[in-house]
Amino acid sequence: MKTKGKLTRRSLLVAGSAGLSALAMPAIIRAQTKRKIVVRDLGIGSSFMDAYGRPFTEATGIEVQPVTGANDPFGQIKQMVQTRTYTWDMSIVSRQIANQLAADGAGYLEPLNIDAAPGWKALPDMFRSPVYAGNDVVATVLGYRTDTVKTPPKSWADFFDTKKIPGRRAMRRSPVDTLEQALLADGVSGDKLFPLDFDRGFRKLDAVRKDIGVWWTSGAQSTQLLQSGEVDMCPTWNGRAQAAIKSGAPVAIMWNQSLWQSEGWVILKGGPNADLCREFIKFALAPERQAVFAAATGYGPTIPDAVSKMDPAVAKTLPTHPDNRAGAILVDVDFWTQTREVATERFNRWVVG
Amino acid sequence: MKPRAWSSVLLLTPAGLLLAAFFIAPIGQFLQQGFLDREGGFTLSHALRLREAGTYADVMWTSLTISFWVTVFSILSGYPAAYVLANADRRGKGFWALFILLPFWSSFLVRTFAWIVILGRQGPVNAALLAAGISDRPQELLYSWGAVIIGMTNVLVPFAILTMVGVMERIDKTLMTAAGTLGARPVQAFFRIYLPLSMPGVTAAALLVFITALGFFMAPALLGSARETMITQLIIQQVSDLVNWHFAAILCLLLLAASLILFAVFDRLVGVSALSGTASLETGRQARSGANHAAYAISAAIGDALAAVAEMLGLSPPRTAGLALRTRIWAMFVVLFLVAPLLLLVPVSFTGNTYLSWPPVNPGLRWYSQVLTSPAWLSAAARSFIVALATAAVTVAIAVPAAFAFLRLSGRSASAAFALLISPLLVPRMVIAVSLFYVFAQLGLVGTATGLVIGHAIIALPYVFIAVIAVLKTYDRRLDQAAASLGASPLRTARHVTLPVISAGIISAALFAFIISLDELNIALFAAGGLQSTLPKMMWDEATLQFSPLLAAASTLVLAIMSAVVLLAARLRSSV
Repeated sequence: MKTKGKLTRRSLLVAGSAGLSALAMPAIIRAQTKRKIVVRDLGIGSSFMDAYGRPFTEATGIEVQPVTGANDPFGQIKQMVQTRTYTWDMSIVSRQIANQLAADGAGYLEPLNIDAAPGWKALPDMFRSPVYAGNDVVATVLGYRTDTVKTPPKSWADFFDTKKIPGRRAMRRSPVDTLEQALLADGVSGDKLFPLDFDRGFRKLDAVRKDIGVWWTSGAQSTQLLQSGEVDMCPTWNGRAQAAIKSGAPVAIMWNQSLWQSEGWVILKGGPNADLCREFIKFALAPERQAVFAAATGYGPTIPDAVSKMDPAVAKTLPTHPDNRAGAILVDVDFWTQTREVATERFNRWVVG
Repeated sequence: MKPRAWSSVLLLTPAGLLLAAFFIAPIGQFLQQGFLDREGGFTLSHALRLREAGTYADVMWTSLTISFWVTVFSILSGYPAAYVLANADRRGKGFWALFILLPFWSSFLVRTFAWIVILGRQGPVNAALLAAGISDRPQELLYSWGAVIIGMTNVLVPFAILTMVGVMERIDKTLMTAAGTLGARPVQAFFRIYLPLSMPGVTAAALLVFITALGFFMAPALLGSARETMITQLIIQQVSDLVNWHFAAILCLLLLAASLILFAVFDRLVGVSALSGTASLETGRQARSGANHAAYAISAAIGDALAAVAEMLGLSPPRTAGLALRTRIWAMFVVLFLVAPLLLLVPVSFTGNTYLSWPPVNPGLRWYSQVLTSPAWLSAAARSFIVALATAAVTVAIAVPAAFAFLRLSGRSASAAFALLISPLLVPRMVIAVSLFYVFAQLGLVGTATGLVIGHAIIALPYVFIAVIAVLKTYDRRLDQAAASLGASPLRTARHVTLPVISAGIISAALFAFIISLDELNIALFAAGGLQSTLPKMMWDEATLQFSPLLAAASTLVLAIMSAVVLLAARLRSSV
């Protein structure tokens, strides 16, 4: 008992002093001498550094540190700007978050002011705003197993028709995307989709409720559901379905009636490195750069020219390829900014009950 | 009496200061938003929303029932394992401790993901069912109540075991022999002597498991159907998805209220006073409160009933000398359940497939070389270990004096001190992290290792505090009095008598803090801006973005390193 006590006391002291010396280490302070920006990216493998980060450093000498943040960094960006703690200098965010950040209070985003840059001029209007420069297009599509689904679905109406195409289904646990799909399945045409008719959408969802085996919450989960064959059909983001296909799973994508959203660059308002960020965005808005990113992620480039810089076989798998974009519908993100909260509450009630 | 009261206050000061600055102030600021409108005026509109939509009450109820069953299963399966661990000889102890601690060394996130594969349509369970001819088509085991309970219990049993072991190790084994000499059958002796004596550990474990379970969100989201929605999922949705902090605060208050009511009920029925000093053995006072007396009588009656049932079933009771075979087999099953996710992860880490799946194909070291050649993973690992060591040191240094002080208090002040120290348990970790950001921003701690240590210490403090109390409870205070009567100063008494005797318990408490820190994600994600990557943060990115076998490889590496460290420590301890 005595030896044991002594020994453990010693090991406790060792552990304690190790801990204390770690605490005494100076807090890591961001080097101010070097020109460097911290960019919150999507964290899809090394796609961000390969396409933008490293080439930018080589061209300008400005260092780029990537950070993978939480899914929708709305709250985080707001906190950083409010407290003037610029942990990140800039970020890639969805168009909806960008609009919301710009409209909230005095606005949390820095005006880009890069009108003269060739990349900015090449950007279609639908992918830019004074504080936002689109980088990629994400399409919500239907992924399905080709080994179990004998009749390939051609529309959302097919996905909702459990008699015509039997099989286990999963859907995203969110009113966003889900209600659009229900309404399109119910016969609403793409150009009349917004503003969404919630009552009608929920009625349509009622009809398939018992056939939805899984309500997924994260993108990786939807990939896994398709990869493992846990479900036969699952609406998800095209890059997610593409990941399942890349891994060799017998999965195909239904491109008709795909729902488009864009993601793009924003700069945190009042940050110390805003000008360096502008340089970065100008550099990133180039067809060659976007082509590298699109090939790695499966998300479509916003600059039309980028598709021509790519391997045609890869270009075919992108939402912005002419073959795939025909039936696409652009999501009205401002509609969702206004209604998301009410819709989510209603959706929660519906899905739990 | 006066100086004693003062020294109690002094001992509680470090814990009080840490909590006041980094928990109460930021959380208070956060919760206050539940009653503010956009312009900062007072409003009840957010609170009234709770009533309008019945969903929230339903979800709260679901959270309570799920947590209840997880607690029941954690205690039932953890008790025999803790018993075996506490009563094994030295070598046996090393063996059992290794296996029981094993799950801790792989991230809880990774283990939850492992269940998706284990219970999946193509998973090993379904494969076995098909092969055995029990079912003719894959069963849908996932996305159900059962899957949620399994996943959550699997994560929480080790916590229950560690809490109970601390108490069981201090139970005088000769008492059982004495009971036998006096004619008690072994079963009776166990249920009337051992079980009641181990009750402080059981109640502490139950409270810990229940309240931790209430805050779960990953397991129900990944393993459950929509029916298994828990309240923390909705809070997180409000914070990160809808960014409505006003309503998130209201939901947080709902969770807090539920936890506090539970706490009070628990106190009434079982007696949190069982944890506080008022009913402790060393005072020698027999003055038990009415509720306590009733609790004791009930536990004795239950003990007799259980003994009768056990005898009818022919269950072999645990014996004092050596361990009955059946108890060990039972414990073996528990261990098997605990390591099940690892049994899947280790082979899968060698797969040539690009995603986590069963069975592994084209085995190779591809994923290991990816982890070991990645500077990001290596620096995250180094950071995580340093932060975890520092967290353990800080938390123990704060919790031990606080626990001493707490045991001297009684009545209201004891309850208040207890509630204060365990309060971080009652708030979802993500809310703590989001609120901490503002304090960290003012102090320049965002994105620093110090910030991580502070955040982790806040989260680990309740666990360490409860574990230390459970140990101190069984410490014979007369040893201190003896030392004092022989002229030792309080400091000398603490150094040469108290601390050596309780050191084993303190080390297991430190281990608690270390484990919690090593597995803590929210602080790195929300209070550090993701700038300082820790292991859980890397795993989270990997899990939410790729679901690749890299996860399995990384967690197997951590597992191997930690097992080696634990084995080595056990070796060193037993060889001297």
